This record gives sequence, C-alpha cells and structure tokens, in this order.
Amino acid sequence: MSNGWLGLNTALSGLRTSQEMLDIASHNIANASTPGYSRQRAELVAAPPFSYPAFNRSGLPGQLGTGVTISSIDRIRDVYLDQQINEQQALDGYWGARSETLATTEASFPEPSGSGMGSQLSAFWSAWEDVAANPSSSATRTAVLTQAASLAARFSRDAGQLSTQVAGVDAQVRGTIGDINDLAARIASLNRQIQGITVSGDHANDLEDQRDQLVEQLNTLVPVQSVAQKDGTVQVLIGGTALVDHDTVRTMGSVDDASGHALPTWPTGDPVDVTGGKLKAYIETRDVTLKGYQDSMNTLARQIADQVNAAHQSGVDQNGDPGQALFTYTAGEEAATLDVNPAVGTDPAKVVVATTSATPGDTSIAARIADLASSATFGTGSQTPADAYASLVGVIGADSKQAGEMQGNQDLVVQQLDNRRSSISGVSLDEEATDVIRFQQAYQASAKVITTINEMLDSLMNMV
Amino acid sequence: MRITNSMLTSRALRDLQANYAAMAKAQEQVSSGKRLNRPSDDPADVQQAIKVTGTLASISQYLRNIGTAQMTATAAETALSGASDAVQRLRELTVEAQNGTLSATDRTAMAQEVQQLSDQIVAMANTKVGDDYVFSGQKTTTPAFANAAAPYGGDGGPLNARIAPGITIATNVTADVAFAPALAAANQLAADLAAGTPPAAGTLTAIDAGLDALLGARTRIGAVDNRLTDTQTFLQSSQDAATQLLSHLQDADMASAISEAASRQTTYQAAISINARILQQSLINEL
Repeated sequence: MSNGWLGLNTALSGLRTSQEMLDIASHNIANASTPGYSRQRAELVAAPPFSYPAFNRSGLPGQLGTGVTISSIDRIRDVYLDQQINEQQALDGYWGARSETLATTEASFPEPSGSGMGSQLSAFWSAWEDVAANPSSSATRTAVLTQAASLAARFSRDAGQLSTQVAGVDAQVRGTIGDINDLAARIASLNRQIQGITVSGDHANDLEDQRDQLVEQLNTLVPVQSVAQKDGTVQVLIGGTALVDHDTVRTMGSVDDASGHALPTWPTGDPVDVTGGKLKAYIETRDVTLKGYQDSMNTLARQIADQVNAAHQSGVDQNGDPGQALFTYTAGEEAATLDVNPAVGTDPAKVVVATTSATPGDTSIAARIADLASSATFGTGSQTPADAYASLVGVIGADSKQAGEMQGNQDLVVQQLDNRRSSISGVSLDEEATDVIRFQQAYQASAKVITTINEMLDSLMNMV
Repeated sequence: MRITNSMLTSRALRDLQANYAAMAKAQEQVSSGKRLNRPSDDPADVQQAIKVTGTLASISQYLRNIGTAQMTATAAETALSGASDAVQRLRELTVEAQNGTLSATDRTAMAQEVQQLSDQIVAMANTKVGDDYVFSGQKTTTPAFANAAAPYGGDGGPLNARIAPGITIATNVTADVAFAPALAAANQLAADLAAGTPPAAGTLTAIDAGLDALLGARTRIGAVDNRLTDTQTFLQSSQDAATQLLSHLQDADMASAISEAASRQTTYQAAISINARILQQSLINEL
C-alpha cells in the first residue's frame, strides 16, 4: 500500500527536472551565437524505482517509479567531423596567409600601367635612340643620364618593396610562433581544469568546447594532431612531438638563418617539422616565393648593368676619354644597389656614343646599347629585358591568382564542413523554444500533481 | 538535415559578401575602364600587355627617329637644290665669258660673281642641322669646306638612322661626292676669269659634271626620304594594330561590364531584402 508522501516526492522530481531542462534550454539559447559552442542535451532517465519491503509480496504489481532524474548533460559533437575540419583549417590557413601576402606583393607591381618598370625600361632605351639620332646634342645626352638614374631608382624601389615584404613576412613568422605558444598555453590551462572536473565524474562540456576551438585555431597556424586522453585532456602533437601534454607546454622558439630569418625550433634546438598552416605559408613565401622574385630582379638588374657597361666602356666619351661603366651595383643585391656610376654622374660629356672622338657622327655605341632592348640575352638568357620583366610580373600575378583561387576553394570546403558541424552541434532556436514550451507544460503538470495530492491529504485531514 | 540558426546567418553573410565582392569587381571594371587592374587579373594577358606597351614605346621611338632623319633630309635637299641653282648660274656665266668680244675687265668683274657663287656652294655644303654638319660624314663638328679653296674636311662615314626594328639606313651624302666637283669647277672658273682669260676648255664639261654630282646626291636623298616615308606609313599601321591589341587586352568591354554590375546589384539587393525577412523568423517570437 503506497502513501501520499511518495507521490509528492515523485512530483517534486518532475518539477526539479523540468526546471533544470529549462535551464539547459536557456543556456543553449544564450550561447546560440557563441563560436565553438556545442548544444547541450540532458539524458533523462526514470529515477530508481521503489520496491515494497514485504516478506510476502502483496498483490500489487511490480515496482513503483519514483520520478525522473537527469543522468548526464552531454554536448552534441561529431569527433570525426572535428578531425576533418582541423585538417582543412590547416590548408585554409596556408592558402589564406599566402594569398594575403602575395596580394600585398602584387600591389607593389601595378601592371599593366604607364608607371611600372616596363615603361622605365622603354624610356631608358628611347633615350639611347634619341642620342643615336642627335649625337652631339647635350640635351639628349643629359636625358640618357636622367633616364639611367630613374631606371636605377625604379629597380631599387621595387627591390626595396620586396625586402620590406620579406621583412614583414619574417615578422609574421615570429608572430605566428608567439601565437602558437599562446594557444598552447591556453589549451594546457583548459586541460588542467577539464581534468579536475572529469576525475570527479562530470562532463566539462563548456570547457571542452573552448579547448576544441583553440585546437581548431591552432590548426590554422600549424597542423597538429590532437589525441584524446582518458582523463578528458588532449595531447597536442606537431610532427610527433608533443606541444601540449596534459597541462605542460613545450614552448616553441626560433633560430635565425643566414639571412636573419626566423625558423621555428623546439627547446632542444631541433627544427619544428612544419607541414602546413599559416606558419608554413609564411616560411615558404619568404624563403622560396619572394626570394625567387628578388633573384629575378637582381638577375635582370645585373644583366642590364653589365651589358650596358660593356658597350659603354668600349667607346670614348665626348672629351675623348675612354668610356666608363654607366651603372654600379653591389653583387648579391644588384637591384637594390643599382645606381649611375658617380664618376659619370650628371656630366653629359661622359656619355659614350661613338667609338672615337674624331667622328662625333658615329653613333655605333649608342646604337649598340639601344639594340640591347631587343636583344634576347636577358632573364633566362633567351628574353629581352622587357620580356624578362613581363614574365616576372606574370609569375607574380599567377602566384597571387593561384593562392587567391585556392583560398576561395578552401574557404568553401571549410564552410561546408562548418555547416555540417553547425547542423549537428549548432543551437536551433526553434528546438529550444519547443523545449521551453514542453518543460513549461511538464512543470505545470507536476505542480498540478502536487496540488492534487495536497487536496487529497486535505480531505484526509478533514475526516478527522 | 537539421537546420540551425547559425547555418542560416553564416550562409546569408557569406552569400552577401560573395555578391558584394562580385559587385565591387564589376564596379572596378566600369570605373577604371580596365579589364586588367593587377597582375593576377589575368597573368598571361598582363604579360602580353606589358610587352605590347613596350612595342608601342619602341614604335613611337622609331617614328621619332624617322622625324629627325626627315628633318636632316629636307635640309640636305634644300642645300643641294640651292647649290644646283648656283651651278646653273655658273654655267650661264661660263657661256657668257666664252664670248670673245668681252674685255679682260669684263671678265674680272664676272670673276667676282663667280667667287660669290662658289662661296654660296661652300655655304650650302656646310649646312647644319642643330649643331651638326650634314655633309661632313661622321665628322659632324667639322665643316665640309673651311673655305672655297680648302680641301674636304669630313670623312666618308654614314650618318645612320634607326628607322625600324633591325633596320638602319644611311641618311647622308658627303660633300666630297656631292659638292666637290662643282666647287672645283667654280674655283677654276673664278681663277681663269680673275686672270682676265676666257674659261679654259672643258670648263663647261666640268660644270656639267658638278651639276650631275649634285643631281645624283639629290636623287639619293630623295630615295632616303621615300624610304623614310614608306617606313613611317608601315610603322603607323603597326602602331594602330598594337594600340588595338593593347586595348583589346586591357580595356573592359563596357557594355558587358555595366550589365554585369547592374545584374550583380539586383542580386545583392534581392539577397539583402530576403535575408532581412527570413532571418527574423523564429518560434521564439511566438512565445
């Protein structure tokens, strides 16, 4: 035979559970827009039933339920999808950083236009043509020197832009290493808190969300492997070396290479095996791509200077002195240091046009220099100077275009996966609103049961 | 598939951004009038455009070279024709001086005019364009004849004009070929007349030879001038073709760029108004 008190308790469990369910719905609604948040669901189970203590079982059927209880609160998450997203984030980070960097580089080469290196080259060769047509005019000779100076200035400007870029990307490498260490420290700290909660048997849903999001951010910087541990923590590995293990961080450092560029290392001094992400994009763009552009610029500057100098030195100037080099440069940084030979300076008489001073109408040297414009001995060795420059711009454009397109594609992939994750883990306000209605009604129903039992007890009391 | 609010909002934002980016691209094409605004817009075409721009610059340089050469040719032609007139007059004077009725005094008087004509021929031979003597070969700072009696001071070198890719032509004739025979004849005539004697036998032949030399030089200059004009015409048509190619490479097709911009704008507006309405819908509003 049951008594009325048991019913009150059962109804109370209903009240409490409904209230908690409303709390969970409220938490979900509050976090509907929180990045990285996974919706939470409570596992409702019937409370342990009550068996009548009797020597001989009465005629009553079975056990009597004692209400409802929440067994656990879980976050809804697809671990496999997380892995895929992490992998794609690394690619997204790589192409994103690369396209951003190359778009900036490309902006330093505003082609096609009337103001780039291409038109400077044309103007330089034209100046020599003018001298060849008017050999004794000091105006055309002065123009040669002016154009030579602007060509040299253009080379140094473009080379300077590239060095600034390289320095900027190097700073990004250093900054990214700092960001990686920062994220690692935050993951380690979350690991510690999560471990504390997990050992006490609970699920640290919100902390795990935060940590997973940090791991995802870390993946855009450098591809990592995250291995879940039994105590709820994750071990974060880069190329087999643990960056984070429980709550300890192996801080990444850097060493400078011969050019003073940072390369990431472990505290042991071993290099970090960087296989992707922003970090790889920055290192690769700095050491391969931009370096390649610089090399092309230097080659072209050196070839132009050498060939013009060779011709210029094979004649005599207006004073009858043997021709001097027109350009000077420092080997290794030809483009940046290209300049008009100070010994020639701005003295038009020192411009070499003829092979002997006896025949000022002989313009064979000027013609030889002007002919360099169409001589296929520049760049790769089979290009004219303008072609060599055009193909450098072509390569810069193609690199930037490829990076931009790859980033666009990669963005789509990540968005697709993100959409799938949002479909699984995201908060649906409609669902939560439905839950709010459901548990409001459940609460009202349980309250009604209590009122009813109360009335029953009242009736009983009044019998006395 | 379970659809959540963040899916809707992030997709809406993404699509709006994509539309906006496409609109910006179309707007850039319309407002700059260019299809190529940076190397990555079309790397191959940008390369081509840089090369064609270079070609255009060299064509206009060649046209300028031709202009300079034409100026020299015109000056040479004028000088040669001036000298021819002088020699014609010499011829008349020679015929007149051969008249036996003339006295020695008459001849001496004629000698003065002959001397002037011979100076005129020297002046013509020493024509300058800018600072350069036209008929002195490559010794452009030395006069062809220091005076009527002086020997030719120049050399036989060509004055080359670069008129087209790989094409160089000599635009000059030298005074030793063009003027020297006439000048020698004039000098001889002046000497004879000054001495009061009739012109030596063969003077007329010498003068005619001088005229022929001048005429030959004029023919050569005329041929150079023709060649310059022909090349100019050819270069101008190349210039037109290159300009067209460049425009084809880098200029936006305005009609399609504008209609693209307009259609992007329509899409964008539609997306904004639909998203603004749909994103507000939720059961929450009904609670």
